[in-house]
Amino acid sequence: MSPTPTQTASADLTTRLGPLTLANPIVAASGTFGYGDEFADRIDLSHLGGVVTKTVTLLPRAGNPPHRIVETPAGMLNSIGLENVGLAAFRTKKLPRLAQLPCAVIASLGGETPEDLTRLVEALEEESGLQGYEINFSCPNVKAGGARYWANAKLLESTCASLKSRTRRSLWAKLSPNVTDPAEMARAAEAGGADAVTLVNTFVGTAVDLATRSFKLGRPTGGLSGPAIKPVALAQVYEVSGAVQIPVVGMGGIASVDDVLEFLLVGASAVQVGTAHFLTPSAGVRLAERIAQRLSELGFASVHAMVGAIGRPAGGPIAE
Amino acid sequence: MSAESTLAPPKSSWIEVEGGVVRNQLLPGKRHHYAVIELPASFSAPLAGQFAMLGPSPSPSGLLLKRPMSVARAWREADHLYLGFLYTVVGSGTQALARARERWTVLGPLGRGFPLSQGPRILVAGGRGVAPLVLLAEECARRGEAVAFLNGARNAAELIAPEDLGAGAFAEGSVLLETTEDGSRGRQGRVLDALDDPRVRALFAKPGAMFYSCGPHGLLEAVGHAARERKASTSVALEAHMACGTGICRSCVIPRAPGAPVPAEASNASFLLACLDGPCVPADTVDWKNAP
Repeated sequence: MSPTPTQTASADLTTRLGPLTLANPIVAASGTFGYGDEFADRIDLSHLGGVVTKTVTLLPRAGNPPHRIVETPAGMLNSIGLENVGLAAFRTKKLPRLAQLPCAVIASLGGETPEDLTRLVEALEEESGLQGYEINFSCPNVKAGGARYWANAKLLESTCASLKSRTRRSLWAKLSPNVTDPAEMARAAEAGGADAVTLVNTFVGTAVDLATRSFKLGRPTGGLSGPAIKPVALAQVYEVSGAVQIPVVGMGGIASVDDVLEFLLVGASAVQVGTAHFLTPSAGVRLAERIAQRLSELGFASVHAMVGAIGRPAGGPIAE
Repeated sequence: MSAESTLAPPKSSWIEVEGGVVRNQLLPGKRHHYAVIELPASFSAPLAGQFAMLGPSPSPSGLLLKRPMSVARAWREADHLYLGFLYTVVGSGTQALARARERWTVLGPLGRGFPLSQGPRILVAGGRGVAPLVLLAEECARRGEAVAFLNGARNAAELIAPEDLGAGAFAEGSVLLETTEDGSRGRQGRVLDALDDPRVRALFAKPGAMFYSCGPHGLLEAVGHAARERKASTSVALEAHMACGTGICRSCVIPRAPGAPVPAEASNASFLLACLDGPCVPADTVDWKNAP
């Protein structure tokens, strides 16, 4: 039963992330696909494994002053600042449409304190149309409740435990790469009961305008994303997936189907596509359409067989 | 108001396609490039003031995002739509576009165009901001309606006339006034100095005069002042850094004027999104002091 390179589009794409099963491992990343419904009349979202919404906070947020983006070599810096419509408008205006989407919908939630997150989860537990929550523990662009605040293993663990006790939905912890030991943070999320960890969020970076002696962004720093960060993201996903038993949702600069498979190989159980959606809204769908054939070409019968298979022959036993 | 809502694009009227580069070169004697791209007929004809996101195809390694540009010309011919774009090479994105002589990726048309008023129309162009006003002037000419076209730039090399882009004649009664800051072409001075021309002044005696403008934000603010003094309305085309053009990235924010009414459907009470709320907005809805 060894798959041959000529076999096409037959690989099993089913992706299990703890209690949640996705049709395939491609998920649209938070902040890069709106709330999830904006492109639903243009793009067949049934091709996606899922979408993660724009991060929702208790109250609406206007976001940061311009400029909010600047392009850098093979990447971009953003300083959006968690602009969002807030919980009330999310429930009344967005959720009814999200419930109709033909893929899994994960709500990204942001808070300045554990209590904020508790209130968000309790409110959304009363609603249908969501398959899980991804807690944004890693925004680099807000003054309160950002990546620095949450880069605290005890706080992360107790917050995950508190949230997990309030939901039967899947709970993902989105982690920052801007820490000394990402594996420690992932272990804390796991200990708190998270069903998966998502990494990486953006890397803190900046860009300077020499002519005006000023920062190019409206705030001094932003978050770096795009192909420029892929090697660093791959390394962090590799390290973290070896440190926890729960699935890792990997991301960082994915632009091609081979990028997706590289993340799976180093240990991601699923991936998120982010910045590529800014270039073309159908980026994630296009990758999802190609993944089965590419898996088969490489001799893998399933997504599952490829997860963490770095250093192993295709479909074979672990190389010692 | 009703004019604006009827001219707003239907939701998600854009598509993303590859187009063939018909021409793409520095305009002779000018600092700006002009490109004409051939697109499939399925691409909606843009309204004046709408824009597209443009990238070279294939994209060179290291370049990430498309660049937003107003449509300067649009026409249909033999099952194709042709779009003209005026641009200046200022960074890596526009440099890559200047080098891409075979194919571009085009996502559009995007945003809200200029609402067509019933009264006199005064078009005010600053530098390469002339682009969407050329398309507007052509639309007016097609309807047989005269315009006042005030076209200003720093110097002759930066001043682009509609005929430089091959645009047709204006309707009878139109007024064309060129201004350069150094006097190398047309009248010396600033573009709004031309408002003292008697033929332009006469327009404000009629009801419903409306300014249309695109250029540096300082000019758009000045157009807002000039309009208020003359009790005229405005539609000005904003420019902003943007990653996506479709409202997703939330990058292209321009602060709303304090006290300006916020539409019920607005996604952000503090900022206009240049890509969805604009690019064409009334000048008095913008907080120009805090605009980038």
